[in-house]
Amino acid sequence: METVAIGLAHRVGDRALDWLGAVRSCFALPSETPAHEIDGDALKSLSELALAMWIVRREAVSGPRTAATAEALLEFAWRELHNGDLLHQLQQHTPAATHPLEIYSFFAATGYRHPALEELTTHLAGLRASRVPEQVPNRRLAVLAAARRIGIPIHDDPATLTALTWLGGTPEPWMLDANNAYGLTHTVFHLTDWGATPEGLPWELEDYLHHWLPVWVETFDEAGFWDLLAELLIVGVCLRRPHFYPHVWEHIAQAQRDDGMVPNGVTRPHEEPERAFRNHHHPTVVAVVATTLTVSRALSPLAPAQREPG
Amino acid sequence: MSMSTSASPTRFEAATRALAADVTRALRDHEHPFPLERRVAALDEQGSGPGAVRVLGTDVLAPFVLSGRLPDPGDVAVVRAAVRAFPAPPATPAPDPLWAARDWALYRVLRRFGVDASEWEGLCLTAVGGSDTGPGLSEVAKSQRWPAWCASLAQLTALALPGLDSAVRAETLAARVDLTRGLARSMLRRDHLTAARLARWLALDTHAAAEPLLDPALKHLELLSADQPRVLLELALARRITETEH
Repeated sequence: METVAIGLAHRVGDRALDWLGAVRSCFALPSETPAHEIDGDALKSLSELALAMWIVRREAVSGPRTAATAEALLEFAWRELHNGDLLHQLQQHTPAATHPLEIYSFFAATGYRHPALEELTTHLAGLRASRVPEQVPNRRLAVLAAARRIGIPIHDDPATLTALTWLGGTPEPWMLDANNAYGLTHTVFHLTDWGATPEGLPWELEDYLHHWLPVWVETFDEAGFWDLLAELLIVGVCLRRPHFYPHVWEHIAQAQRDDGMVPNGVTRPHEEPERAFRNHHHPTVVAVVATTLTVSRALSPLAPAQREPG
Repeated sequence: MSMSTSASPTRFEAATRALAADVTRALRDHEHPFPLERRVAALDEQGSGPGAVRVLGTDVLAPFVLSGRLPDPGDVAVVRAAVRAFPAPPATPAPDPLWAARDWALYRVLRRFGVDASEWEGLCLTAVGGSDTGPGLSEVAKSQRWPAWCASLAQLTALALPGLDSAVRAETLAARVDLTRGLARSMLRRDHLTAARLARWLALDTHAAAEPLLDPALKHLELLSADQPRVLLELALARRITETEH
C-alpha cells in the first residue's frame, strides 16, 4: 500500500479515536441499574469500544497520544463493568447467555482478569448445553474465539461451524445482502482473531474472498455504506495476502466529520456528537479497528503464506 | 452512442424492444429462418424500424451468424437502409470509438455473408479500413480499474459474437476474473442489462475457460428481467453462444 494511503488511514484512525474519547460518557452504563436490566445495546457499545482498544493496544502502531487515549478508554470500560463484577453477575443471572464471556475476552486479552468469572465460564463451557446453543454459526464462532482468547477449552469444531456460515458455503457473489455481509465479516474476524492469525481462514475461503471481496468493496463504497465498508476493509487485511483499498480510504477520509466521527452512511447524523452517538458510534469504532489493522499490515506484512501440499 | 438514452419509453425505444424480442425468439427457435425484413417492416408503420435496427446493430444478424443460414437480400437491404438513415458521426477530428467498434463488427459479419459493405453510406469509415484484429480496449484497461473496464466492455457487445476475433475478445479471455467481478457487481447494482452483456462476453469463451457461475447467473437474470426485452436478447445470445461450438 502506498505511503500516502497509509498516512491517510492513520489520520482517519487518530481522529476517530479522538472522537470516541470526546464522547466517552455516552458509553457509560447506568450506575443504579441491576446488571441484568442494563440495556443490551449499551452493553454492546461498550464491548465494541473495548474490542477496538484491545486491537489498538495489540497492534501498537499508534502514536503516543492516541495510544494513551486508547489505554484510558480501555480502563474506563473496565471500570464501567465494575472491574468485571458486572459481567460475572450477568453470567450468574443468565448462565446460558454467551455475551458476558465474549465481552470479557477482550479484557482478558489485555490483562484485565476476573478469576470468579473465568471459573464460572469454564464450568459452563464444559456442560452439554454449551454444545447445542440455538445460535447462527457465525455467532458460535464468536464464542469459540472468545473462549480461545481467554484460554477456556471448548469442544466446538471450527471447520464444522465454518462450513455452516454464509461465507463457508461460498455462495453466488450476487446474493450478498447487508445482513449476510455482516455475517461474512464476522466469520472472518473470528476465524482470524481479528487479523492476528490469517491462517485460521481455510485456503478455499481465502481464494473466494480474493475473487469477490473487490466486488463487495466496490458495491458498498459506491453506496457510501461506510459502516459495512469499513468492516469489509478489515476483512481485506485479515487475509494471508492482504487486500488494501487506498482509493476507498480516500472516500472514508472525505466522509469523516471534522470532529472525527465516521458516519454510518445510511442515516443523517445530528450536529451534536452526543445525539449522533447512537447511530454513528459503531462506524467510528469500526474505523479505528480498520485503520489500525490496515496500518499494521501495511507496515509489517506477514511472511508470504505457503500453501500446504495437497 | 446517444441513440436511446431517454428514460421514458418513446416510440423509438418501443420499436427497439419489439425488434429485440423478435431476435430473441429467433435465437430460441433457431430451427426456423429469421424473417428480419418482415419483422422490421412490421415495426415500420411509424418510421421507427430503421432506428431499431441501427440501435441493435450486428445483433439483428445474430440469428444468421448462430444458425449458419444466410440472410436474404431483403434482410441485408433493411440493414443498409438503417445505416444510411442513421449514419455514424463524422470521423473528424477522430472517429467515435464506440461507433467504430460497432460498425467494424457489422462490416465483418456482413462480409462473412458475402456482402461487401465498404461502399455503404453511413458506415463508420474506420470500420472498412480497420485491421483484422479490430479495436481494443487495452488503453482503457491500462489506465482504469476493473469496474471501468467492464463498463466499457458492456458497451461493446456487438463484438461478442463467434467468429469476430477482435483485440477486445483477447482482452476478455485474459481477464476472466475481472469479467466475473463485473458481472456480480452489475447484478448487485440491479443493472441487469450490463450484467447480461458481461455474461455474454463470458459465454463467448466458455469452451476455452469454463465459468461455473455463468449458468446460474443467466437463469437468475432471466427470471429477474422477464419484462426487459433488451436484457433478454443479451441473455438469449449468451445461451446460444454457449450452445454453439466455435
